Order: sequence, then structure tokens, then C-alpha cells
Amino acid sequence: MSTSPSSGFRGLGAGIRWRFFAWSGFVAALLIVFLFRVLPALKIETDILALLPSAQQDSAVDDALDDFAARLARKQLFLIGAPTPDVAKSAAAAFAEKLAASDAFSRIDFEIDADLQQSLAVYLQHRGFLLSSSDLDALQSGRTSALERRALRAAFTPASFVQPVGLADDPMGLLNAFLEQQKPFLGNARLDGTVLSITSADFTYVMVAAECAESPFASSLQERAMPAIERAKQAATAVATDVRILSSGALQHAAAATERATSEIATFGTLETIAVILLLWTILGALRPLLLASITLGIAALTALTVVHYLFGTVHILALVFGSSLIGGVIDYSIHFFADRFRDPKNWTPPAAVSHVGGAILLGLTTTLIGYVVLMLVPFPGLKQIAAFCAAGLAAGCGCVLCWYPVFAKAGRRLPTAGPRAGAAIDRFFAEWRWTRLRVAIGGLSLALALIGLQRVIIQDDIRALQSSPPELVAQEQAVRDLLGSGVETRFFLVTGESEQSVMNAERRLTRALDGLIDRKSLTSYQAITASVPSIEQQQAMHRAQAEHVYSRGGLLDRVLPTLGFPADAIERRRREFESAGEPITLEEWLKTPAAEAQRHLWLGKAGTNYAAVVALGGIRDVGSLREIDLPQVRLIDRVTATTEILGRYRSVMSWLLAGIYVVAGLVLTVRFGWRIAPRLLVPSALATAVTLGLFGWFGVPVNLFTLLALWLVLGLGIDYGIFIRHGQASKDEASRPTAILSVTLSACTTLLAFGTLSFSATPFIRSIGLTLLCAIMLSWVFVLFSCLTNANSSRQVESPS
Amino acid sequence: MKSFAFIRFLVAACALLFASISAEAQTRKPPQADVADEAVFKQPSTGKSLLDTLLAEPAKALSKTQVLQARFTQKKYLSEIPQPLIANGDFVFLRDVGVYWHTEKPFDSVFVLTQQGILQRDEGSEALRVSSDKQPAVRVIADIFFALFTLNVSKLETDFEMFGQKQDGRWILGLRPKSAAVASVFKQATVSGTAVVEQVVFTDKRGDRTVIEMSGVTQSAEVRAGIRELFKR
Repeated sequence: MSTSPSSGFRGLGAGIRWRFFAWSGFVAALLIVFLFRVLPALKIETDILALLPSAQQDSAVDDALDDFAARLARKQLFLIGAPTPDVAKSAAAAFAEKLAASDAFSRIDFEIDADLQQSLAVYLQHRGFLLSSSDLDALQSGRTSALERRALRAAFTPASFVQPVGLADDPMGLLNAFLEQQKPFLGNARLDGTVLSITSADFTYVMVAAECAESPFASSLQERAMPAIERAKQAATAVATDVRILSSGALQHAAAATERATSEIATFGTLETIAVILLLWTILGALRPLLLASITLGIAALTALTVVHYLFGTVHILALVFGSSLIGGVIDYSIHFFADRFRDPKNWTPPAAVSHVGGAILLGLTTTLIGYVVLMLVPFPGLKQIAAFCAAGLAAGCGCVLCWYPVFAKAGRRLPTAGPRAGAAIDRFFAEWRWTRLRVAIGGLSLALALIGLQRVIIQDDIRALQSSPPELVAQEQAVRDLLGSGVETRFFLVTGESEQSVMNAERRLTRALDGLIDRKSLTSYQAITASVPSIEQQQAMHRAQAEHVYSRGGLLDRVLPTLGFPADAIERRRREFESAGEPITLEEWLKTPAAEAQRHLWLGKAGTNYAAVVALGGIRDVGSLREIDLPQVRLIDRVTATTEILGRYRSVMSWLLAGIYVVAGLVLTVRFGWRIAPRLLVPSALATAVTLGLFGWFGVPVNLFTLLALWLVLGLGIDYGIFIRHGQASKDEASRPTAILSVTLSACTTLLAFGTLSFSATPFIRSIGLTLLCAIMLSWVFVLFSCLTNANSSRQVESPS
Repeated sequence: MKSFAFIRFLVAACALLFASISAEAQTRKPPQADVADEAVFKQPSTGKSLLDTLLAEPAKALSKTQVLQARFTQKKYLSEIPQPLIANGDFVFLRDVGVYWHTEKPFDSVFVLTQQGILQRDEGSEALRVSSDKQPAVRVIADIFFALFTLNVSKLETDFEMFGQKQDGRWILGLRPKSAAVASVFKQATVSGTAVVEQVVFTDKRGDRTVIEMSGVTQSAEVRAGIRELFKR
């Protein structure tokens, strides 16, 4: 950039000078903003779900749900295993200590030191208002003999072993039964001294649970958390050599995805850059165009990052993937500009190039931008971001070419001849091409064959197939699941209502239905806050039932306690305590107590105008039976299925939109070029799209939303090629056509380099994009050349005799 | 893998589980065990030294035992009740399988504790069934139970601080839970006997106790016909 504009600067037109200064000002401002405002705050998002729109309608509740999911995603579980419990415990202690030393984790659960009496206190205080559902039913229907029996069993047999409250505090077992029903499903984990452990055949695993300080999908957290985990692992294995460490949680998968994506972006980006530089240097034979093209690319990338940062707050890794491929799009403009020199190597000047190809570049940009603007209107955060990223990058790239190149570019002394010769050879090939009957037959047959493949297209919208983790991590995850003996469910129920009490009453109806599913073995367990704190209405019913059947004269109390030998005054004291029992327990009060610790996260609180709570599920055996539950204010949230549905829905919406864009682009081209020429520009892209899909059908490559995204790019690029060749053809200058062919060929090559490498990505959805473009761009290029360059008359000559 | 909030459930549930032992511990002090009880907790020990000295013989004898049968008397002392709640019956312990606890008085009830869970039958009809898949607490109780009966000191040591003393030809083992969660409901336990475990006493924070006394203990290295059937679910 230090190169001062040539002495001819003053000789340039006022328009060019004005544009140059305006653009330079813009770039300077951009650089300052990027360096000082964007770069320090730049956040990379790696969660594929962040790209997707949420399936619900109520945005406040959506936000609460997102919070809930985000909180769950922050959990990370480690199992530290060793052949003996003691070694496992000390290794886990060393592990936990190292983790706690890092600021990446806000909470480490290792040793348990909870005082049980503290969490029981609130229930003891309000026990006059609390009953288990089956006890409530039994009391209300007067079936009290089973309850008497239970009390005797607790007093004389080891049945009381599994009861948290002692006989003196709960002689009737009513509070114990209430506490019993809120016990969660724990799988194989158990308390071993002060730690939780799981014993397998020859190993004992000690559990360490950690909570990330922020989203595990944020690259900033991963950078701190992963080294901390590595240090912790070293500390644990330093205790004994045969220590085994298993982990489970979103963090490791997210970190693996980030690592893979960044290394792929780096590798592919480097490969592409080298390849593009070699290609351009061979063709243009000078360093200056390369330097200019690289600077243009840099500015395009910075603009794109800055725009996305300000519009969305975070930059998604997928946008970066497209960004690495922006090379393809932006470099095209530079190529068109410099390749123009081959038109007239001796008398070429940069300003002349702008006036010659500027219009075509702008027209190409316009059609591409139309595509992206439509993409931005789709209510799909990921697409919006990709569209904004590409549109901003392309516009900035175009600005650089049109405003800077006339000043900075210089006609070099030497101009290699390889490029023009290649362009001329292609031109000659097509000029001499005759559509003989055989060629038409072969071409038509191949096309027909490829298009038959369309019927075999496999559609795959399953999110799990689109985002894969390294097999080693998946195996660890499975090992943890096997050891714990319980799967972790991602499905849950959401209960909403206009008031706290309305939510709690609705939740009560839901848990009744879920109890039925548990009886039918469709479900193993659920966790609901109303199991711990029933609605006021419910508590009052529980209080009434106790007043009428337990504490009334001649009630359960009077029948059971004398049998156990309680003296009259002890019985009266209990009756007085019950009668003076004040108020039902309120949700607000309960949430503040240690008793709520395990379930507090299930209460989402006030979201917008509504209140919401979550009912978590465990051991789902029959998803269908969950879907059948149809209750007001209750909704089954199934993120995986919902995401798959969304991907499917947007895939079909995008298909229609793409078809729509072809129509719009057709109209624009018809207005500009007339109805005879327009199809020649448009059909190649459309045909390339259809043939690509057909080939995918034959080769069993699944089609998904990301394939469609790639086809979106094909539309823009394919039309660009057509416009350029058409532009070259229309020029009076005979050298224009081979030059246009050359520049289109070059840009197809760079795009293939840029996107083709993505076909080797280990991430399935990125691979989808790569394969689609690899195939479709190659076809577009071939079809454009055939459609624009072969003589239509000759085909008519062939057709007419038949 | 999103639901790792359940670690909190684990904590809470395991705390609840240990509270369960408090039900066994709500008793008044039986006078005769008083002195020995307090004294044993002045003699801290480790599992290894206990096995080398105090428990060497009974632990060795028990190590071969497959079946242990005895009569039991369970006395619960509650501060409000002048007389203890007394139950008696017999029990069968089968190594690696479980405990069959048959209460005869004041009413007939069978309690079977295995690694698979708890089954209770009152006068022949099933009254309670808790699977250990659903109720991991059961497995922990089963572990402690078995460790106690077989004097599996190394297992007990992971959960408890150990104390040991010899008195009048009897050994007395003192156990104090290591974690606050357990200690908040179950302050200490003593296990005593000669050749085999003869008495277990649980004491809670308030000083109330449950005393289980065993008599007519027989042990054998062979499993007689019919014993396994007792544990069928």
C-alpha cells in the first residue's frame, strides 16, 4: 500500500479520484473500528443449534427455554477410575483441585458435605400441608388401613431403612412418603464416604462434576477450559499410572468441533491461497495483481466480520467456513479486472479496465446480492448470518476493485502468454464445435440418465447426522452412560401459565398423566417441582385431608400412636402442632431453601407475561406415548426432533425460494439482455443444479439444507459466468471473447479450489457444501460455455432433418 | 448430554438415603451399653490394625462363612415412649446374595434385601417392593449391611472413621460417618461381639438409639437346600 499512486494520478478522471479517496477513507475507518472495537470483543460460536430458528412462538418463553438448555449444556461430568476406591478417590481429588484452580469453571462438585437437616427443615415446618399423591388419594377415599400397616412396619421392621425422617418426627410415615416421591432416578451412582462413585467389574469410578463459567460453545471458554482439563488429567494420572478418565458433556464435543473447524479453515485456507496465487501468477505474471487481490480479500473478510459482529453479536463458525470460501467470490472480481488486460496487452490502462468490465462486475454483484438479500429475509439466524457475511464481503471486494484498482494497478512490462493461449484454445474448441446427431444423442442421454437420479435423492435432515463428533469422544460418552446405567434425556415438558399457581396446577395434571406412563413402563422417572412444592390449592387439599382423617378425634393418629406406646400427652402435642401449623409453603419461600437446590433449575420463572416450569424426564422407553399427552398449557420439547423438523422445513422452503430466485433472476436478465439471450445465461446454472442433485441420487450422497445453501451460491456464480461471457461476446473487440472465457475459467478454478477442499472436511454439513459446489460449479462452467459459445444454428441444422 | 444437573439430585438423594439410617437411631440409651460405647470412641484405629489385632479371629472365621443365621431382637428407644419398641424374629445372611429378615413379633413380616432391591411381605402378601435401579440407596444400605455382618473392614473404612477396643473378652468396633451429610443424622454406631457380630447400636445426634441384638448365631461354609429360595423375588 506504500506504493504511491503513479505520476499519472492527476491525470485520472475526477470521478476515479473521488471514488479512490472515498473508498480509502472507508477502509481506514473500517480498520480502526475492527482493530479497536471488533477484534477485542470477537466471539466465535460453534453450536450448530445456534444457527437454527427456535420452533416456538412465544419469544419470552423461548428465551427462558434457551437459558434452561444453556445451563444444562454448561455441565460437564468426569469419571475418574482406578482399580481400588482409594486410588480413584485421591486421583479424583487431584483432578478436582486442578479444575477448581481454573476460572473456566464456576462450580466443581466433588466432595459432598450437605447438611441434610437443613434441606429437610422446610418440609418439617410445613408438613401439615404436604402429602404424597397416593396418601392423599388414600386419605380422601378413607382407605386408611394400609397407612396404619405402614406405620407399624416402620416401627418394627427394617422397612424404615429407606426413610429420611425418623420415627419420632414422622410416626405415620406421611412426610417420608412425600419425600420418597421426589427422589430422582440415579442410575448406578452411590455415595461412597464423601464422594459419588460407580463400581464396574474391576474399576471404581469417582464422579467429578463441573459447570462451565460460560457457554461451552464459546471459543473463549474452550481456550481456558481445555488446558485446565488437560492439567487436571495429568494431576490425576500422576497419582497412579492405571488411572482412567472418562468425560461427558457438551464442552468436549464443542471443543473438538472448534479445533477441527479451525484447523480445517487454516489448512484449507492455506492450500487455497497457495493454489490461487500459483494460478494467478502463472496467468498474470506479476506480483502486483497478487498483492492487490490479497489486500482486497483481507478487506472483504474484515468487512464481513465487522458487519456480522455488529448485526449478530457473535460470529458463527459456519460463516467463517463460508468466509474462507469468500476467496472464490471476491477473487473473481480481481480476476475479471486483471484478465481484461489480455484484451489489449499493449494499450491497456487500469481506468479503461474499469470502464470495460466494471458494468459486468456490478451486474454480477447485483444478481448475487439479490440472492443474499432474499436469504436474509428468511427467519433463520444461521442463513441470515451467512448471507450478511457473504454480501458484506462481496460488496467490499467489489468496492476495492472498482475504486482502488484504477489507481493502484499498473500495466506490467511482461505478460505471460499461457492465459490468452488457454482462453483462445477454449474459444476455438467451442467455435469449431458442431452438434452432430451422435453428440446430441450422447449429451441428451447422459443428461437424461443423470436427471433420473433425481428420483433416487436421499433427503437427510437429521441434525445428528450433520454434526459428528470424533469416535473416541462418542465412545467415552457411551461408556459414561453405561456406567451410570441411565441415559440422559434431551426431551422434557414445558408448562406455562398466567400465574405461578396456574403453572403448578397444570404441572400437577401433567404429572398425573406421567404417573400413568410410569405404571405402563413407557417412562422410568420424571422430576417436577410440584413433587416438592405442590400448588397452594393442592396443599390446602392435603391439609384438609390430614385434618379430617389423621388429626381428627379418632383419626389415624389416635389409632396408631397408642399402639406404638405413645402416651396421651405426646399425641395431643402432635395434634396441637398440626392445628397451629401456619401457612402452606410458597414457591418463593421454597426456592430460597437448600431443599430446592436439586430442582431450582426446573422453575424458569416469569418469562414475558407468562410463567414457565420444566418437567424433566428419565428413562424414556416410548416417545410416542409422550407425544400423545395432550393437555392445556403443556408442551413436549424435543429439541433434536424439532431441529430435524426445522431443517427439513427450511430445506423445502429454501428449495421453493431458490426456484423463485431463478424466476426473478430470469426476469432481470430478460429485461437486460432480451428473452433470447436470458435463457442461455440462466439455464446452465439450473441444469447444473439438477444434474448435481441427480448425481447425488445415483451416488447416494444425502441432500440437506446445506446442499441447498451451496446451490444458492451456484446460482450467483453460474449467472456471473454467463454475464461475463455474454459481455465478452457482445464487445466489438474480437479479443474480448477469449479474455472473458479466460477470466470465467480462472474464477471457476478458484471457486473449485476454495470450495472443493471443503469436500474433505470431517464435519458432515461442511462436506455437503463442498461436494455440492465441487460438482455444480464444474457443471455450470461447462454448461455456460456450451450454452453461450456453441453455434445455435448448427444445432438447428442437426435437428431439422430428423 | 445435557441433563447433568442431576449431579445435584445425586447429592440430595444420597443425603436423603443416609438420613434413612436415622430411623434406626431414634432411641433412648440402653443403660448396659453406655460405658463401653463412649470408651470405644477414645480408641481411634485403622482397618488394617483392627484386622491384625482385634478382629483378626472373627474376621478370619467370617471370611469362609457363606451362610449366617441367627435370632434377633430389635429395640427402638424413642424419647417420648417409656417402653422401647421391641420386635423379634430370625434372619439369614447369604454371602453375595443378601439378607432375609423375618420379623415374627409383634406381627409377621418378611424383609428381603438384595443387590436387586427390597421386597417386603406382610403375612404372606407383598407390601413393598423397591428395586435398586429406582432406588440406589438400597444398594448402599445393602453394602453397609453386608460389610457389617461380614466384618468387611476395608469397605467400612471408606465410609466411616474406625475405632476399636477389647473389653471383657468382647471386641467393640466404633464407626463414625466421614461426611457431614451422614453425620447430621447418624452420629455413630457400635458393633460388638465375640466370634461373630452380636450387637449393633445406632446412635443419632440427639443421643437416641436403636439396638439390634443377635443370639443363637450359626455359621456355615455350605449353603443348605432351600436357603436360596428365600431370596427369590
